[in-house]
Amino acid sequence: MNDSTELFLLVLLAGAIRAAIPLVLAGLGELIYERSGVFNLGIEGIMLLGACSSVAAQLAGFPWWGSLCVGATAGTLGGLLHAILCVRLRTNQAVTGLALLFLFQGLTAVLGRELVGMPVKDTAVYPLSILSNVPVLGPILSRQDPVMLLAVLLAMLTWFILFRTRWGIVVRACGEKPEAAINAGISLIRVRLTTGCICGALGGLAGAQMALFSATQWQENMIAGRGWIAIVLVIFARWHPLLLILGALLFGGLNALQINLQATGWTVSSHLLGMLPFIITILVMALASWRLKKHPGWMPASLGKDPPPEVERTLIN
Amino acid sequence: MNRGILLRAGVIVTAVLAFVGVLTIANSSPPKVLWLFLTGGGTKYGIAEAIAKMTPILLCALAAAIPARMGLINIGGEGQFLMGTIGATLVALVIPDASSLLLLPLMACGAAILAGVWGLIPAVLKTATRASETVISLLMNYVSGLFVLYLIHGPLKDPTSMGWPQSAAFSANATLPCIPTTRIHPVILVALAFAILLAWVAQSTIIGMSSKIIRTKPAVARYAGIPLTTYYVFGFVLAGALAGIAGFGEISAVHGRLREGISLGYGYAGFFVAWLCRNSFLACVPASILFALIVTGADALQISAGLPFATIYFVQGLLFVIVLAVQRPANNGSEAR
Repeated sequence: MNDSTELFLLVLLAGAIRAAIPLVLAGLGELIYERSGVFNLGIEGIMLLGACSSVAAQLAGFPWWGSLCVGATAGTLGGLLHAILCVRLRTNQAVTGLALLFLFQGLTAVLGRELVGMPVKDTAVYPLSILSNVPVLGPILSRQDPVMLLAVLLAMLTWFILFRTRWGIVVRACGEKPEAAINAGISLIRVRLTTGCICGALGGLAGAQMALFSATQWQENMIAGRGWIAIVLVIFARWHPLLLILGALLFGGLNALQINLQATGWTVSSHLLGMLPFIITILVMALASWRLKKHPGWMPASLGKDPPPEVERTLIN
Repeated sequence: MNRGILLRAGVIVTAVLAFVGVLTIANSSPPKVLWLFLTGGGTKYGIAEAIAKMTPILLCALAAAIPARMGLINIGGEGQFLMGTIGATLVALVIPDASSLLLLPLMACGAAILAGVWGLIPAVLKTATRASETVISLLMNYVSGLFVLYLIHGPLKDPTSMGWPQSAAFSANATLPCIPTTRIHPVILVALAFAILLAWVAQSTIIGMSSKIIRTKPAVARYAGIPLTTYYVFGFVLAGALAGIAGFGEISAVHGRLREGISLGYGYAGFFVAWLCRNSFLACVPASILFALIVTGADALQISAGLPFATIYFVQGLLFVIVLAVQRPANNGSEAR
């Protein structure tokens, strides 16, 4: 293939990876939480928390990894709140997620209003820049931010823990058959609270990555639906971390295609192109749900369900 | 009952305290902000504004409540509202010179049809593939928002507006009349009528009873031969149409053209109101008045205290979370996705 096509494809790949990172991180958080039986529709709000707090930290002078930690911590608090409401107080999971979404959207808008548009400095960190001479992938890898490495590592770690360790079995048991978990002496509350915090942490990290490395500033509502896309990706990936990476890359590729098509001079309205990710997400959701009908075993059996009576009694202590 | 009222009053007080707390952190002077907030809704102008805003909130609350009474979550009210504005705009721009008596109802129909289709999609996907109507209707909110932007920047862009993205202005025939010096328009009657009608249907007809069975025991409903698919689809389409009519009302009476910012989050406000009222259609009426007062207050805040409009989402979310935390888990639906 000629040079310009190759260049286009490389640019596309780089863009795909960049766009995929927050989806992978938020998706991992959501996946872990859902594997333990709770779904969090407010992950978008948690990403906003991470984004806003990390920008505030960076502008206050923290180093980039410190700001990432701040973002993750803010997200953890959000996830903890969700878990307390859903698991301890047994509120409706869907409604709780939506309520927290409103809350965090509003909270970040109010608290972040003085930060809007201020560019963050010192986040142009490229840990893989030594690889820039590697053929083909070099230029792409050398321009990736550190969170990309973290995302890949976390995905592999999640796979390993979920499917090869005892902790993973504990988490999955809570999502598949809570009665069995309780009978085995596992504290359902503790597991779900923990996975809720993890979901929050990863979601906050995802938002922080978007704000610090991709957009390099804070804008109200800047996550623009990616949290929802992550939720759909988890279903698409059958709650498997490695398939999640694949889905996120495909999605990121779509995003990158949309951006690059505009750059090549196609005179299609950017708003119309912007609708495409969401329309595709809707189609993916429909397709994935339809597949699930045929393969109900892919979904954690107790996802979203009220725990059965014998478990309820243990929750009320 | 007393305890319930005390609880909810306590909730509101806590929410106000938290609001003040956040404002203090955000460096706004809380007393000034609270004063603006309360008086923004308290003056004569404020009350008229609140009643004007109550209409779209009530309609969107009904739009959220109808599917909710069948166990579905419709958070797509915002998108359905916007599609309603688009539908009304298309009719208004195609036949601007038709007589008002014909044009306005046609615009309402256009709004209802387009928004009804918007509501149809999540319902169809839910019944065909069991996809979560919550996620889909919410994703469609984003799509409709972008569609509005596309139209006002593109095909419907008004050449005489000096580059400002909006559609051409509606003709006088396409403008809903309002009570003088207010922005209260006839759609409020439609909203109230539907609230009463839906309450009657829910209470006294087989449709209402069947919906309740569908919500609480879907398996029993199927066994009894109740056509769930028809109920789901019809419920969502009706819900969409109502939100669309709210859109028609707002764009025709208040804005007079398609542009950004026609919805002040009415869809989400309606969702919250419906949830607060436990999906009781009649209770949505006073609740939406109360909420409209809050929205009017927030609007005043945006102008005078420089707080972003999303403050209203914060207040809403805070109330939402607090009520969630405090209420007894009555019939927490096992709404598996």
